[in-house]
Amino acid sequence: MTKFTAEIYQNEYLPDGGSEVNAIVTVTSSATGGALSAGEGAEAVEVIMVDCSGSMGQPSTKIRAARQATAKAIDCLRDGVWFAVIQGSDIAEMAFPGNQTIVQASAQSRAEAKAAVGQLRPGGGTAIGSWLRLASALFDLRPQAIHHAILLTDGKDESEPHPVFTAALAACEGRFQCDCRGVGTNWVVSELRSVATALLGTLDIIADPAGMEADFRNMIDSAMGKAVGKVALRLWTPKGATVRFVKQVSPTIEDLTTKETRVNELTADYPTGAWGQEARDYHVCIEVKPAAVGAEMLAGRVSLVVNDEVASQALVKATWTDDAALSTKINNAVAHYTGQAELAQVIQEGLEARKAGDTATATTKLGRAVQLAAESGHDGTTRLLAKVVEVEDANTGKVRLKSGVDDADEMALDTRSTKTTRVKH
Amino acid sequence: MPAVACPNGHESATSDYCDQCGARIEGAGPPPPAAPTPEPAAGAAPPPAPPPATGAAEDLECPNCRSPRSTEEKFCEVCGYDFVLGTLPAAPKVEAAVAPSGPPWEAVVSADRDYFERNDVDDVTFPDNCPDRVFTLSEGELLIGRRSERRGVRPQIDLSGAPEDPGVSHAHALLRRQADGSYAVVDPGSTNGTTLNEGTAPLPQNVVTPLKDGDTLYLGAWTRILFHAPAPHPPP
Repeated sequence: MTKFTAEIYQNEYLPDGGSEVNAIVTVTSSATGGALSAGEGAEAVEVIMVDCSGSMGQPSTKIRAARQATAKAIDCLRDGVWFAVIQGSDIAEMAFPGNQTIVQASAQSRAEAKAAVGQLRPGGGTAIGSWLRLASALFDLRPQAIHHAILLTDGKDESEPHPVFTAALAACEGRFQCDCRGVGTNWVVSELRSVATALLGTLDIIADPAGMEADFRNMIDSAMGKAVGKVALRLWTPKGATVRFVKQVSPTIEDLTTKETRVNELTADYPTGAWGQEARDYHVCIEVKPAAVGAEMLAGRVSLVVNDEVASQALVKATWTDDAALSTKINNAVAHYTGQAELAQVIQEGLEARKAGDTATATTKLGRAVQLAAESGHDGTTRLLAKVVEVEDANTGKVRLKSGVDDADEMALDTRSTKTTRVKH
Repeated sequence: MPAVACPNGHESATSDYCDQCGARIEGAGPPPPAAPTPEPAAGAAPPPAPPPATGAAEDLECPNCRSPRSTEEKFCEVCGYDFVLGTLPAAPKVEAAVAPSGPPWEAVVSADRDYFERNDVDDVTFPDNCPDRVFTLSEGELLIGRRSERRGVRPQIDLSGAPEDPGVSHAHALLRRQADGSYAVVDPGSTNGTTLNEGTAPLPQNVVTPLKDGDTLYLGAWTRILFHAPAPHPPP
């Protein structure tokens, strides 16, 4: 069994006339009655989509690394987990098993799958939408299971019209989660990010094919650790209030605002995907009607919904005061994650400006990023930024753009811009 | 679950806060942490007793001034009585706790080029034309900052007029009159901090620091605020 707890961190005091309520919700899931051991987990389906387009053979280290990484991922599948491997090009084909179905992992099926994966040959184009549609059809064979996919590509989605791609993506939303990996530097960060974001998955670059094996193993281990699928964050707000945004802010920033499903006039659900034993933070921002000084109201009721049952709840409050010392204080957690969200935004905007040749904007934005990363102790991002800019003074954000930046470094900074550091409560 | 009546007359399935309007339902759990209430002004009538907890929805007159009310209303339209909390609206801030003695302090806001250059902020240019702005400290508590309607921040020392210093937070610092009529400053957590006089470290957040005549606060990219205390015996 998995137990969920939700805690609120906020400054509930608003100045007279104030209307914006901010809160960080920390959701923790833990196993009751001991941790899960192998073979004990919930029913799961794993689909691996491997890009086998012609470019995967240039150089051939890419397709070789993809074969090995997929084989390693298959080794990590728990006995009994349903799985399949899709060979993706300008069409989607079954690499394993032969026909359009899924099989349960066992010593024998794993060996057969690895043999099939060893035969993958590069050729053809890239139509990611068709791969996603085939994966979705496979997941439908076990509708109640936890659905997880891995998508590996090295190129741009160019063998299908863009509306076909976006329609396929929209059709898959809510049906399975998909971690996306780009290998090399010829894929498009924004394109793969749209898949990862829509399908509640992670996004990363594998600059060097040699790094693929460890990364695939981590993704499968994490997927095998999920005990509950399709958990939603439910938010009730009072009449007259508006939800400005709901964002996951740790471990990565994912804006969930537009993914809402209305439950009733005052309540909406936001999807959070499958959960293992983990903790995530969400930033909720609600606009309420101001009340008189001294009044207290409930601005939001946050709960977790697991299999249509409410698992835990926490209260977001608003109290109006004329003591400015109380109302002007910004809660630690809210301040931290507001900074982390700005960090992700200035990195993405700075890199975009850099690509467009707008040096002044790029310098300002990336300088601000250096400053925010240093302030929040985000060492990973600080290191990635130092590959793109020359840091003169991290405290004031004084930087110079480097010339001759490695594409892989720039893409790594872009893909990892949404990773956040956790606030210390 | 039986429906509970909320102070605004809604039927709520939840018994802690109303599931319609969010109002706190009487008798639900422990009371909230005491909301800070202003010192009652001299001569103000004592707040009337809260209305009986039961039957709030049926009361058709204001318990304070006896004017008729509807169950939909949260406040009395005549006297402003809060039906939820059972309190009168906060009295207008009359010279707060400490009455001023003698002429008021003054704060002179200017753009300081030396400070601007020490700061070395990118992307901010020093304003070409920034006449001094003089604020008379006539209230017991004043906020220094930039006005924001959306956040409900309305500083008494409002620096949002042009030229605007982008480094000043909406709620940047708070001035409080002390018992002896002098002022003290508190930085409640401004983004870029507040420095008292040259060559010192920024003020620690949420610590009350007394000011004396001639003290200068530096904030934002170029804003300097000089404080003048009135002379104890003004010349004739």
